[in-house]
Amino acid sequence: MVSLRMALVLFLVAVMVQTASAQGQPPPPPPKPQLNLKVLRKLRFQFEREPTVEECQAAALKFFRISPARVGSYHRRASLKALAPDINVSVYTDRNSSDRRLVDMLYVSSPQFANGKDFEYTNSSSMNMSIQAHWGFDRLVFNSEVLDVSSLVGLQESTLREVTSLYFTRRRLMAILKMNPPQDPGEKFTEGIRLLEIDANLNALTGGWFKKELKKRQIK
Amino acid sequence: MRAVPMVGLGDQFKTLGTSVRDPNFIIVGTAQGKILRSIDGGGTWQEIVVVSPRLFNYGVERLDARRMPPATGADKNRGEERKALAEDRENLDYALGMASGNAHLQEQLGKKGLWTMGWKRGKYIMRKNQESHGSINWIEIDPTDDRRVYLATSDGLYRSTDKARTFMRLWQGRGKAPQRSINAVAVDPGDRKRIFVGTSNGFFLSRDWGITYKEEMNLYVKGSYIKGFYTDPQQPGLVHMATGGAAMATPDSGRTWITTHWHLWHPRSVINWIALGPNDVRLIGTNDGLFASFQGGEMGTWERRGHIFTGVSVTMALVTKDPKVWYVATPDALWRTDNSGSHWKKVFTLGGQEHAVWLSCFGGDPNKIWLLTNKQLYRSGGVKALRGVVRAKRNRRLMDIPPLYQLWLRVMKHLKIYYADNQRYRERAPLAALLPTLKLKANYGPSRNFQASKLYPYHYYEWVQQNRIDAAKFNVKVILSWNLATLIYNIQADPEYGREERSLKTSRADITARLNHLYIEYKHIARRMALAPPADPLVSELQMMRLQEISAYFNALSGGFWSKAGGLDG
Repeated sequence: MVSLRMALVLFLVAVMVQTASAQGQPPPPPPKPQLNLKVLRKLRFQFEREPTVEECQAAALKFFRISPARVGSYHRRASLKALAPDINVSVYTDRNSSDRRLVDMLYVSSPQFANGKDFEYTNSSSMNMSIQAHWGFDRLVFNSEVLDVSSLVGLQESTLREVTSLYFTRRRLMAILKMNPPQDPGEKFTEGIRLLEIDANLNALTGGWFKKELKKRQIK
Repeated sequence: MRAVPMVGLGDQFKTLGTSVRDPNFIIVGTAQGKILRSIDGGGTWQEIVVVSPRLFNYGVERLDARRMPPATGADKNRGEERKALAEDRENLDYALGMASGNAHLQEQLGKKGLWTMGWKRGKYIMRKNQESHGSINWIEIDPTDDRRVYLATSDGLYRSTDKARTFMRLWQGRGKAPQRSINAVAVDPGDRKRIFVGTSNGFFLSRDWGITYKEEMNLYVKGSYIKGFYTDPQQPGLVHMATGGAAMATPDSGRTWITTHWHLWHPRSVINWIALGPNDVRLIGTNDGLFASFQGGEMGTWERRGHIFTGVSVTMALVTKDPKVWYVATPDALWRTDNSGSHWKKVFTLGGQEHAVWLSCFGGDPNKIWLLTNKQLYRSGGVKALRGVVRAKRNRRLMDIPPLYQLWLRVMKHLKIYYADNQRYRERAPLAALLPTLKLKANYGPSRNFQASKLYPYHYYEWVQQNRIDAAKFNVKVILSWNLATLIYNIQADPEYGREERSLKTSRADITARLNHLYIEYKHIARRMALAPPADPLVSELQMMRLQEISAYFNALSGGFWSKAGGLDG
């Protein structure tokens, strides 16, 4: 009986202490959303199936015709272009004819000389073909166009930067949408539109390759 | 100060917006018209494009619908207007496309029915060689409601009502370009309907949430170049304004304006920043140092503080909740004083091409300071866990990266823009004179001459005499010419000669600045990931993505060198 009373007193004391401490403290923070590691694994698996950033960069550079191989080829061709000559071909023809007739007034009364006494017909033709070739061998040593090709690097770099940035912005957005989706429906909708916009931009920058590739790999 | 991991590749940061209610809500605006938004104190970022990015066009100049040419014959009488518009249009360039005038992208997009970044290109006219590219000049978060965010851009005033997730243009500005370029915007803390708008050519006030605007006609305000507004939430109605030639203030929400600081010597009159603090402490940063007033900034109460700043441009200033503790930013450092400017201590050094663009703190707390430079965002407070405590051994590999110089050299050589290589090639220009110009000329000319005659007394015979000559000539001429004068001097060998070299110089500088910036950011994130990885898996995943992004960019520029030398794979 005593032990039962003791237990009751202890229980009441414990409840009072708890209540007092709860009144003195601020309310506990809302629980953090539990991260589902399965979602993370699934997301990583999806990323592995998608085109890599290197593939996207290569597709964009190819679409804009500024891939490193092509720019290298421009360099090579610019430095070797002096081997091919400037060619000029010209053809000139000349044709002359003359018909000489001498009418002698002393013999004009005679019918056989009425049309003329002497006849002479001359015909000449000539043709002149010439071909000129011009090599500027000095340009084999230095050609300023080689440096001109290097200025393509600005376009190359800005394309690479844009594609890389869009590619990872897309991934970040996907990660946030999957792992910690916005609670506000309006925000969720806006983020969805932003993802579509980034997809469209990547698609445009790669000349439609990105969408085709996603479809080929059966990624929604 | 500690660098905060960011997003984007080499954006030029321009302005920072902080909330007075939420310490974790920050917005960074870039010179490319991009907004970077974080609601967790810089842990994760969202990118929002407010105006067209720099990459795709030269600068945005929206054509007002009222100024469009009449499409039908109904408005033929408006010939003068059309003529004026045609003249105006001659100055405009429809060069839509990527930088360097590549219209190829637009053509391809047009064929596919797509638009760049979701912007309908027909709405824009591009003006070449214009300074503004739709940059974000000022971000104002409504002090009474974080959902309302105002953006002052060079393309007008924008507003968001959903905590900076989406923006709509509120006002295009008025008149010519200077008035359309908005430099600053502020919400009156006492009446949130009242919006102060500072342009490059005058001050405008809206009393109805930004629906209508009225230009201030005060003699000293009209036509001024407004640099910024500074309000104190504790004193509704009081607004300080920095202009290109004076500091001004209004005690009654813009009804009357008084000049608070002006000086005959121009550098001292250029106001870069105004800081408001408790106990009526006011600071102004000028091109000739820092000045303080302890009487609310009244005219004649300003005194120089910090003689080390004499002749130095003080770009920003900050008074904390302790009115004696101030921070000041100069082009090369951040300084702190604990005794109202008597002694100064350099707390953070900036260098290279990095300079401070914004300084702010939450609630005047010196432990919650945000410093934005043109390249990076920093916040105060160190990370104690970084003292050599290896928490994640597997992540240590992240720190094994090649030195910056090696990376830079490899990038320059891979892109064939390394200056020494290019100059070595240029120096071959005089030697080119040793090789001749060869001209080869071959000529072949056949000819035929025929003569037939019948002469007296044989004229009755048919063509009794015939004479025919067939001739042909063939010659070859070889001309070799040397221009030996260029052996002595050839202008093409001069350093930085020519158009292409100027273009290369710009590219080199851009790429170098971007490499520096991203390399430092990579190191910061890698160090954190290796020694004190974030507890939240999402933040950890996002930071890993950031490392991958930077790696992918470095790899693409260096031809894979970054990964081979130990850097992360893209």
